[in-house]
Amino acid sequence: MIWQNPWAWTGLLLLALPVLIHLLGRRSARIQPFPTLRFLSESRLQAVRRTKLTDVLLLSVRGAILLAAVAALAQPLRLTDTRARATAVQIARALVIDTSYSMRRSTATGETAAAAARREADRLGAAASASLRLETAEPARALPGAAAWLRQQPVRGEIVVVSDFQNGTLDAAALAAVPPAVGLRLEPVATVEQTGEITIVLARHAEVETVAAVQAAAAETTVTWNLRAGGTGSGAPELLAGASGRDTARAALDAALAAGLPAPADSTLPVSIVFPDYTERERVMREGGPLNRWMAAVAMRLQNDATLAEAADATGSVALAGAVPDTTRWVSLLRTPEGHPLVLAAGGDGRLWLLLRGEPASLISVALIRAAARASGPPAPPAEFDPATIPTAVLAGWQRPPLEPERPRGTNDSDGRWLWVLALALLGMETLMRRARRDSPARAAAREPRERAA
Amino acid sequence: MPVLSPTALAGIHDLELAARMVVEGLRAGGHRSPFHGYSAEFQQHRPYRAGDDLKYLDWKILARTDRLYSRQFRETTSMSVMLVIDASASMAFPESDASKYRYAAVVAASLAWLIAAQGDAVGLMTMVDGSLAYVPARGGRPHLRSLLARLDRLEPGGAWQPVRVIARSAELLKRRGLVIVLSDFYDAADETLREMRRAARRGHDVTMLQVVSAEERDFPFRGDLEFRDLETGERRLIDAGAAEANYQRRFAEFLEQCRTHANRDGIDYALMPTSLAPEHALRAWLIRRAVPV
Repeated sequence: MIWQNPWAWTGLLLLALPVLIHLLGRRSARIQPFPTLRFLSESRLQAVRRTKLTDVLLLSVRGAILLAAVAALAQPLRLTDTRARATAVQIARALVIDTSYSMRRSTATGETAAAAARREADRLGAAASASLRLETAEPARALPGAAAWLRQQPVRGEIVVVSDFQNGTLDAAALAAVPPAVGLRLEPVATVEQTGEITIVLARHAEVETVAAVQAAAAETTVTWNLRAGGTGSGAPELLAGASGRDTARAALDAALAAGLPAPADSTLPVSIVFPDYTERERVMREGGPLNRWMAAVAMRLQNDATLAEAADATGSVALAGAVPDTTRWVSLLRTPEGHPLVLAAGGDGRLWLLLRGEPASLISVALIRAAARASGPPAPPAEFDPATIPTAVLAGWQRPPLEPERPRGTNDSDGRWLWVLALALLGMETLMRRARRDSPARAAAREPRERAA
Repeated sequence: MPVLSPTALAGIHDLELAARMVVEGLRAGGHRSPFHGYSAEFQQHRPYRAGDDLKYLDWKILARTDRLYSRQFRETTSMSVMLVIDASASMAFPESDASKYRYAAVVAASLAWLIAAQGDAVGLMTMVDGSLAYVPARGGRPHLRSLLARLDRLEPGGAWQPVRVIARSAELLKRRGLVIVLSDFYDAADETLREMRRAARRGHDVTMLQVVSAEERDFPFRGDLEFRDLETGERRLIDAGAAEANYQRRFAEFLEQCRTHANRDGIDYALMPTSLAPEHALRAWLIRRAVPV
């Protein structure tokens, strides 16, 4: 028998209540006027003892009602074999999915490691009685939260980390934060092994790129840093300008790249900047639609770009060019100090269109190109390019099965309902007993006497 | 005519109306008057004729002369009846319209009506706040109304002195009359009986109508109750359930003692439970009085 709420037993102090009611109640006897006391003998008066429990049966029933109610509140749970088996089978899983930059690498099937991790998490989550998904670029930091959630579950719990387990993803210190009763399961996602040297563009200038050459080996990873000429601006936003403004726009791009990009732009997120003289500007304005998730994220980063905001503040309304599109479909990202829309965003053809109402040669043009290049992809730390992973033997040593919980916590399953039924039945019995005791003198009084004439 | 229950009768606040209803019920029975007056005075003898009542035959003359003579009487005065009613606080039980006092008042008013209707004189004696309240015995409808109004105005309360009230009633009846005492006889029972015996020896016909309530007789109380004496105010905490048997035994002994002593002293006695309709109680008593013992 398990008592899930043992503090409720303090309610047993209430057992003293019926006795107190009995004793105190006797002190407030009802006053009954009567013609004479000559027939009520003194000896009988002395026999009235306040401390005597005259109705032990009724007192016992009342005590039993309280006992049953207190026991029910303590939430008893009898661990039958069936319940024990059911508890042993059930398991709760906190699924930590690594979404770091390295998980963009491909698996043998061609899908990204992140997609494979999500698929594996789906499978494990479906097999659990309860599951929680945590997608994070830093799995080690998600472990305490996952363990806290598992502590609230009434069944066994384990943390499942699905990752490529790149070096640094987990370490012993992070795993020490997980309670011993919580199981640990580490599911590696195998990526295509990258052999040889990997070249990564870390920063780009107008004519020069900063390149890191990464050479992975079994014991160490060697990174060589170089500058190379011939930066083409790949990953920079597409510039849509008319024939007359195309050279100016290209010059603006060069100006933006001249300032340098601290990290490579993500070329998988296509962004187009539409200048006022673009010949198909009307079509773009017409076809512009709602932003999808990544477009909204990029748009938000643009709004928060300090350089772009300063450039917008420096742009007067006189410099505005081009018509304003339908603002029900186009989102205004930046406005002039006078409040006129300056840069608007919309989605179309899988691209994020940024409609600029400034000339290609303007300051806002350069600022927008640079900000778009920075906002279209998050910078990846160099460590994400490390191809080495945590050895399988180490992962196996960290894994452990979940332990049985000491007692089911917070479960709705309780045998207390039967005690409530018992308490209700006793309450009914107590009511009947009280009624019987109250009615007996009343019936005697109401009995019509059969008088005989004297 | 249907018999009104004590509760229904208690609901009629006009005492005269209540008495009339009781008396009308009694008259429907068509019995002889139970009151034997002393108002007949001997006038002369005349020879006995067939059909004369034998009780008027003069047996002494028959023994001496062997001749049959009947005695003849002359009506001179009517009978005098004094109603003595206990208006002490103990009669105000139960504390409702159907109290013992109300019951006694209805019985007394009915008797007054009956007595006045047959041309006799009726009076009232009681004690209010320690002083005697007296209505002299007279006949006539206006006097009856006055007596009933006085009776209606009385409120039970305080204690009463039965010895003093009964003695004064016997004194105020100028000749031999009927003294009817309505009470629960809780106060000074022995002295009361002695005073009634003294009144009987003075030649009065004394009747003792003992009024008791159902609650007093059955004692239907349970649990711890603090009983308060209506007259003295004394309080006692009683386990009513445990005290019931002893109470009932002692109460029955008290009633039996009253009845026995009354019979021994030549006092007419009747128990009048308030649960019994006044008409029934009066009829049973009057019929018994009409039959000589």
